[in-house]
Parts: sequence; C-alpha cells; structure tokens
Amino acid sequence: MATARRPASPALPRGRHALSGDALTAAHRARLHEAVVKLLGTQGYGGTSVDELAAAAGVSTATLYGLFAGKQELVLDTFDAIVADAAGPLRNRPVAEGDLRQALADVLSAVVDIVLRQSDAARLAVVDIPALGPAGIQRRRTLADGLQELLRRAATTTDGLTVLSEPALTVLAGGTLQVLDRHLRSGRLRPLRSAALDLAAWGAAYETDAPQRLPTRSPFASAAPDRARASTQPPSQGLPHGRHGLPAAFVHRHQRERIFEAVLALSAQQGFEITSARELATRAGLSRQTFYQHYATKEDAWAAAFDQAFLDLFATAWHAGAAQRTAEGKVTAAVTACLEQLIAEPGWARLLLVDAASAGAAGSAAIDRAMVAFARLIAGAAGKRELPAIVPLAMVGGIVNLVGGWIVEDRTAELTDLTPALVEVLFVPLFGASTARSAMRRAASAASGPGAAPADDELRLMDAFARAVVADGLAATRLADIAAREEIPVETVTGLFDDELDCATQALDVWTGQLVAGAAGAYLSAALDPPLAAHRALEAALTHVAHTPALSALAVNDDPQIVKIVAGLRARYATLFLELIGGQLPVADPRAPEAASVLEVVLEGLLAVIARFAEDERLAELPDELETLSLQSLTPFFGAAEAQRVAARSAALR
Amino acid sequence: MRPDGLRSSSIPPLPSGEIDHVLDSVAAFTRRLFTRTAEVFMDAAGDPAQALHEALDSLLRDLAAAPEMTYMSTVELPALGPLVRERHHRMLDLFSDFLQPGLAARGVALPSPEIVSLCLTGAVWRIVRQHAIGRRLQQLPEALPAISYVCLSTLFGPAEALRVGDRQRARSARRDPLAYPPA
Repeated sequence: MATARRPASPALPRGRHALSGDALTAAHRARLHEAVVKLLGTQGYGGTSVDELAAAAGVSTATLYGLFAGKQELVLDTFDAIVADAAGPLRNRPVAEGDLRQALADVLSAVVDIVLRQSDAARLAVVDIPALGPAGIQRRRTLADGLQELLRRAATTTDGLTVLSEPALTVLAGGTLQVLDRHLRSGRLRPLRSAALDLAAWGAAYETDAPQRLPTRSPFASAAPDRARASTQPPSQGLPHGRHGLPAAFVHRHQRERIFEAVLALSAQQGFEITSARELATRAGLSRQTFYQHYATKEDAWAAAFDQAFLDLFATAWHAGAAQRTAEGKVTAAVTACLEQLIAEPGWARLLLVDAASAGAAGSAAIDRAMVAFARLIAGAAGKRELPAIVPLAMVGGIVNLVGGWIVEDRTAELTDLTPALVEVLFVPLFGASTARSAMRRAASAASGPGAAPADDELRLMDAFARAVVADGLAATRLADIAAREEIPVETVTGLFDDELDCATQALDVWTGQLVAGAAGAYLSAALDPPLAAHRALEAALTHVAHTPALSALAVNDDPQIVKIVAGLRARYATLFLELIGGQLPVADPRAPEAASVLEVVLEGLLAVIARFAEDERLAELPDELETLSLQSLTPFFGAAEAQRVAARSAALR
Repeated sequence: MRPDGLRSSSIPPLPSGEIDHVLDSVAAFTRRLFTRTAEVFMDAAGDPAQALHEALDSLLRDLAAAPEMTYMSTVELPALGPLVRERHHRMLDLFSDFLQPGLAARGVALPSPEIVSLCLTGAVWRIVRQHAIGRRLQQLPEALPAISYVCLSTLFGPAEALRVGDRQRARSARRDPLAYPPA
C-alpha cells in the first residue's frame, strides 16, 4: 500500500540554497539510502514502492529516477555505500598481536561492533539484500568474500603464510554471516559479543600445522559476477487441454510438480520476493485459478518447494548416516550422499543453497527450520564433545556458503570434489584435528579410488535380513547365511554390521527415518491446513509402508528385541517429526490429554493395522485404507467434521 | 518352524505339553479379564461412552495388577509364531465387542468398521505390551486418559470424550482431593 511517509531526515531548504550540484546529489543520495534502510527493514523489498522511498526521503520521484534507474539500483547503491563505510575502518585495522584465536576474535568483535552501532544498515546488508534476486544474492556473496578476506588477514603470519585452509576460511565467513543474520532477524543483538568469541574459538580449531601462501585481495572488493543464471529450460508443458481422461490424482500431482519447477526457475532468474503468483502460474502453464487451488499464496508454493528440497536432502543425510556404525562414519557418509544428491538435482540444489535467500521474510521460517534440523544432526554427531551452542548452526551456514559458492560458479557437477574440505570442516570441531586429517586422506583417496560397499548391497542385505527375521525370528537368523544367499561378500557384511541386532537396528533406523522425512514433507506441503497436512502425512507414511513390505513387517514384528528397538526409534522420530513440521499437533480442546500422548495411542493403532496387513502379506493394499485410517487418526486431533472433510476431499481426488 | 506352527527358536525348549499348559493359563487369564471388563461395561450400559471408558479403566487396572500373566500374554506368547497369532486375533476380536455400540453409533460415517476396531483394540494391546516390556506395568492406569480419549473421540466424537474425561477427573478429585487442588 503506497502511503506518504515522513522524510527520513529534514528536507533541504526550498528555493535557492547555494549548494553545489554535487553536494545536492550527495545529499539526495544519502537521504534515499536512509529511506531504503528504514523501509526495507520494516516492509521488505517487494513491499516497498519507489513512490514510498521518494516520499520517505523527501525527494520527488523524478529526482529519484534522475539518480537511479529504479528501485533495484537504488537499493544496490545503498548496500554498496553501507559496505564501503564499514569496510574502511575494518580494512585499516592492524592485525592483532597474539595467537590465531585472539586475532580472529579481534576481527569478529570489530565486525560485531559495527553491526551493533548500525543495526538497521547491517540488517539491509545481511538480511534484506538477497530479496533483490540474483543481484542481491551476488552482493551478499560479496559481503561473505569481504569477511573472508578480513579473516584471512587475521590468519596470515608476518611472513605471509596463512594458517587456515581456504575452505575453513569460507566456512568461517559463511558461518559468521549466518549468526549475524539470525540475530538481526530476531532483533536480539546483545548475545553477538559472546558469539564472536565462540566463532573465533571455532575458527582457531582449524589452524593447520602446514600453513600455505594463499593469494589475497582487498577485503570487500567487488566479487566476480554470478555466472550461473536463468534456467535454460523452457516453461513447463501443461497437460493436453479439454477432456483427457487422466486420473485426477495424476493431474493434481503433475500440476504441483510444474509449480515447483516454476518456483525453481523464477527464483533463479529474478528472485522469489518480486515474483508474483501470476508469473508462477504462467510459468507452470496453469491458470491462476488452478494455481490457487493448490496454494493460497505464492509464499505457500515456495515453502512447499523448499520443504521438498530440504526434506529430500535431510532424508538422504539421515539415511546415509543411519547405516554407519561410528559417528565419523555417519558424518562422512552423510556428506558424500548429500553432495551426490545435490549433483543429481542441480535445480533443487540451487534453490536450497543459493536462491532460497531471495524469498524474503516469508521464507525465513522454512530456512531457519532447515538450518536447525541440520545443526541438530551435527550436534548429535558430536556426542559427548561439547560444542558452543552457536557452532553447529554456524557450521551449517558456513557449509551453505561454501557449497553455494560452487553452485554459483557453475561447478555443481564437481561438488564431490568438496568432500575432503567438508570432512575437514565437520571433523575438526566434532572429532579433533588428528581424526580429521586421516579422514580427509581417506576421503581424498575414496574420490579417486574404489569406494566402500555399494549402497545397493547394503539395502539388499537389510531387505533380505528383514524377510528372514519375519519368517524365522531374530534368534534363528544369521547374517552370514543371508549374505551367502544374496551373494554378498562376508567382509562387506562384517564391515557394515556388528551382529544381527545391529543390522536390525540400522535397518529399522533407515526405514523409520525415510518414513518420517516423507511424512514431514507431505505435511509441510499443506501446512496451512493442518487436518489436510496430517492426512497427507498419513498418506505418505502408508505409501512408504506399501513400498517397503519387508522392512515394514520387521518394524511390527513381535520379537521382544525388535519391539524394544522400535519403541526407542518411535520416541526419537516422533520428536523429529514434530520438529520438522515446525510445531505441535493441536488437539481438539485444551481439556483433552496432551497431543504427544494422544499421538502415541494413534501411532500404536496404525502399527497394529500394519501388523495385521503384514501377517496377511497384504501391505501393498494398505493405502486403500487411507480414508478409514485418516478418519480414525485425525478425529482425536481435529474433530470428526474436519476429519470427514479431509477424507472426502482425498476420496474425490483418488 | 515346528509342525504345530510354533517358532522353535523363540522360546525356551518347553515340551509341547508345557506349552499347552502355558497357553491354557493365558486363555483362562484372558477369560477372567474379559468377564470382569464385561461386567463393568454392562453396569454403565445406559451411557455407551461412559461404559467404554469404565471398561478400559477396569481392563488397565486388572492388567497392571497381574504383571506376570500380562507379560506372558503380551510379550512371550506373541513371539511364539502363527499358532499364537491366531489366538491373539481372536482375543482382539473378543475385546472389540466393547466397541460395538460406538461403531453402531458412527454408522455409515466409518467406511471400514473392522479397520477402526483393529486400530483401537490393537493400540490398547500394544500400549500394554510397551509397559510390559519396559517393566512398568504398575504405571499402566496412567495411560487411561489418552487411550480413552482416542477411543471415545473416534467412536462418539471429541465432545463426548471430553465429557467423560471431565467426569472422570471430577471423580478422581473427590477420591483424592490433593490430586486436584481447588483453583
């Protein structure tokens, strides 16, 4: 809504005022910069018009257009001025005497001082700028690069040797920006001073005993332009018009996929905040009416696409990690699997690690949830080793900066080359420098030599194992026999599992993790309509069960040891599910028992039905019972009327 | 697998006569449990939702009071294999009788009453088993509010489930004033 605003600072005197042309231009620019900082901080880039900016600055629209080609150029100019102002004092600071930790703490504390003194300007430079789309994202990368140069100077000895590796510097800079971003969004700036010290300690842990001579450049110099640009893919092809006899569910799913493709393409081309629902619909080959049948707003469409990308990657990391015995193995496997997934899905990779930042305020909750989920994975891998609370999140932000940089440089296909660097970044704080060095050597040789046991063998073994336990019981099942039957080398089996119980635990962990990630993704695809979201989550879970009959039957097996494993997993994954969907399931009334205990009863009921279908070897038919199970499961939470509404809608689609 | 359908490796090698004895003991326990639950259920038959709640309350208390038999019924026997599985199905079917008034009340609103019935009886059975495996059967009655709420809201709607829950809380407060101190 365009409303006239009070000027950001007193207007210049009207009439003849003896100011030179240059001084007048400089004054106008400064007032416009102030207006940009003020308005974008409160109403976002997409929600601020040129007229509002001119009014807030106390200049005419014609004056604004006389100085800048438009809103984007004005905002970019503001960013450049803010960074130039901040960079001067930072660049000219002498590097602190003392050890690396002290030198890093000195730089980071100086950055925090500037943020605290000029928090509104810092918010524009760190939080708001990506909403401009490609140009804004490139500026944000310039900021990360500038910070990296400052850190590099702090990590360089007087004889020109740098004691931090390039990836460590990139991650430290990205992690610092992530921490600043989070605090600037929340407005809680006071903890930033202690955060700077934690970040310095984290960064100092990467100090290498083999320093290198690295090329340096001036901090906050302009970065190379972003070469990876608009998707070259043509707009999505719609289904044939008129009567085509295709099932409604198929059409629905196809339309949704096209909307996701449109989100990916337009986010990369122009940034999401300035993309309209009309543009999304056009790009997807849909009418606006059809678009709105899927999503109430363009932000909902973005969140659904982002959640799909995030949950796929999260499930990949979880799955890969769950199949490993040691914490080190889990982290390495998760890194490798995630990089492979990003290579396989470059469009999703770009959305997740580069363009997501352009979604503006609407996307921040989804991004934050994803960051926190991965940070929890990292914190979990640390085990008893104590990490400052801020470090796992900073590590995720740093890794996004490192991997996102390669994606921006069109190097997505080479991402597996980053494995040793990511192993260093993750291993040093989690397991110490010595373990990190040997893991990096292994990662480097794995990249060029034969790999570990093929994932196919592992899955085949788990599946065959599950079938054997269901048929003969856990006590009568021998891994060696199954390996022989499946023609899998015994050493592969012993490398993967300690014993039969370990195999059962890992198999069920993988199965449950996939189920939860799929269900959470389906929930988030309709998160604004909680009953529908819960229905979709149930649908995804039943589909997963139908597609994995052997492991599903194992999950409901009556062997007491299996029951114990499943009970432990259920508690862990129920919590994870609630975290992934970013909230709590409501119950129909505050007088009802708490949602967690209601959920437990409902889940046990569903497992009882799965058990019966498994006994009857009818798990493939389980999705046919969706309507009944949905009615039964949703009623305690949402009431019978809502449960029936959702079941009826689902039945109509099916 | 043994010819009688029992999984030979799942249980200490009992002679088949002893297995039969164990099965008979569990069957007798189940019959007693059912009879007692049915009596409580019939005492409150005029209010179907309240009757189901009372039946669940009685069932959970009786199971908690007989931990050895409950452990044997829910943990040891199911691991025996298909023969016991059949008995287990029959037992769940038996207890699903208490759901019939509720299922009848929902009528056509439930597309597959047998699935709902299995969901509810199965949920109760599995929760009992969780408590048995965790050796915390004495806490089983504490699961009543959530179990009752899910069963009653599914069959009679959340309003009825809340009404019965409120009544139960009021009764408990009268029984133990310290548990529900006045506001």
